[in-house]
Amino acid sequence: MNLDNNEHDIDWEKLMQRLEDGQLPSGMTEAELKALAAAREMQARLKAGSFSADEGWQQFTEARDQRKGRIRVLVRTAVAAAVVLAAGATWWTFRATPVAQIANAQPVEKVMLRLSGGRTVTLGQDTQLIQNNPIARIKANTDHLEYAAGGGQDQVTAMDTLDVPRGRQFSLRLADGTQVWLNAASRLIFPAAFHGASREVTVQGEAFFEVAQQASQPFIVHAGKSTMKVLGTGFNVNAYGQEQTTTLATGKLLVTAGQEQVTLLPDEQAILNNTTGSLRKQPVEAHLYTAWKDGDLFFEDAPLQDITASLARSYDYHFIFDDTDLKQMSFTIDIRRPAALQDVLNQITKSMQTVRFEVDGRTVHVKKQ
Amino acid sequence: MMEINPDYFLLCTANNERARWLMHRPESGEAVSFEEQFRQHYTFLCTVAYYIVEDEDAARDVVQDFFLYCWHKRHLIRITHDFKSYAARAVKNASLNYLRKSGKTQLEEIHVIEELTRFFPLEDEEEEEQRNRALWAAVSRLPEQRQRIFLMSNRDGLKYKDIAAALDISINTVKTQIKLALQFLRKECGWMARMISFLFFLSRW
Repeated sequence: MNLDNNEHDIDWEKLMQRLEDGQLPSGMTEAELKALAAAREMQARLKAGSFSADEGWQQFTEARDQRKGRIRVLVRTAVAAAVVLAAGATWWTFRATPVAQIANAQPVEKVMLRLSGGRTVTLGQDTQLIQNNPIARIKANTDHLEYAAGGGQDQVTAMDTLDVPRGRQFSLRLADGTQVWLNAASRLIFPAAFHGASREVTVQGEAFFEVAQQASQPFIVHAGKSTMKVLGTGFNVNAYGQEQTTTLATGKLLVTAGQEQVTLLPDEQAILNNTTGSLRKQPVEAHLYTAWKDGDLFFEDAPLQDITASLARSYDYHFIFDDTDLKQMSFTIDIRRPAALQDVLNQITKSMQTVRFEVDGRTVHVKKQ
Repeated sequence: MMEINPDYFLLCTANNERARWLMHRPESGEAVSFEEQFRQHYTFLCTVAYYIVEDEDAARDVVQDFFLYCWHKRHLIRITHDFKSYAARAVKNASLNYLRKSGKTQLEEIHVIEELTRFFPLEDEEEEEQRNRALWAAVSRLPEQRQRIFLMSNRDGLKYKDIAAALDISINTVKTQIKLALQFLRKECGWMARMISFLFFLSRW
């Protein structure tokens, strides 16, 4: 037998102890390591019978279908001024150099918080304490804002406004504990503290809400022409375009627009046509619509013009189709949101080599190869 | 909750081919049902995880999390014939991450375990199956008492002292029987005896 493992090099006492208690003693000989690898492999192979596929599948389906207790909704509304280019941004372009440019510019505009008293605060740099009075205590860091109710009993109804420009995302925690994620080019109007019979906020653009449950004080979101009343939730409101969509992740939601109303259950979406005023609902997979708040870029079979419209907001760029028939070419993209737009453009070019992007300052020309 | 990041395989280390495959959803092609795929590979993947984490429940969790990830991305991941090797790599990485996060295992130790994963599982599916059969055949050739003790320890995870108590024998007898079983099985399963020598540099840490 040609064994190159010298059994005499093996301290079996040590090895047996390691197999028993799981500790890996240092200073093992090569022969010991080999013996250990063999024993480990045997154990793994012999374990197969302990992992029943039937039980595994049952546990998997339970975990998959589990609904979390909170309500989660995504809301999207139209923003009229969203296509206006950041003025004065052209200084950034290196016009003198004929070298191909790369789309890696940082967004120009800052996240702004306008307090009900009239003061405006620029967010996004450091951790800062913005306000600490009987109405509310407000703290901010680079991408998150937190409100905590103050000790005062005053019934304040004045509203604060948070503006998130193109190229940025921001999240905030309202005084009642509700978490809100705001996508690029979006605005949230909300009270510093919630008093009265209901909690009401107004959103423009796109926001994801994870509403803290409070049966005595329903949470109401106004977005464009519709109103969402949370009946116990997470949901997403998207009102960037001609259609306004509300997508429910968990809980139950009542969407009202004019005379019409629909009740949403998880993985359902309400679509309001802003022109006709018609409101309908359809089944969807909610997580596809909420990917942005987790830092993912997600498009499923989406036409290139929709993708570039979204990238323009997320990265604060402007797209021009030099070849208009590229607009309808469809793509599926699912990646972590890269820091630079260029990385996304590269991915698209890789997947479809007939598409070419030419960067000029903050403008991207879409061309055929 | 342990963190799984199969994205790592799909998007970072992946070559362009893989990125393209993800980005551009294939229109045609026979897709195997998710449940079928799950049932076909679950047990195997659990053993892959177990080889690293050495804990049955943790192994199940790692594999379940991996499939949950796949479920959420099922519109994008077209499951093809090479799903198994992709899944094995993802589960292997997730298992190592689990060890790192659990804080119970030293970093050097994790490094050694990572090296050991070169031995198991094999890329070749047929060879992999053959080795399972060879191992069980060799186990069946062990003397009856030795076989029982060995399985109580290595398959069922009982402690030496519990085996000794259950069979009313001494701990030293248990250890000796297991040692003899390990030596025999390693010789019978030729590939284990032929393990290449790259482990040498690890023996110095």
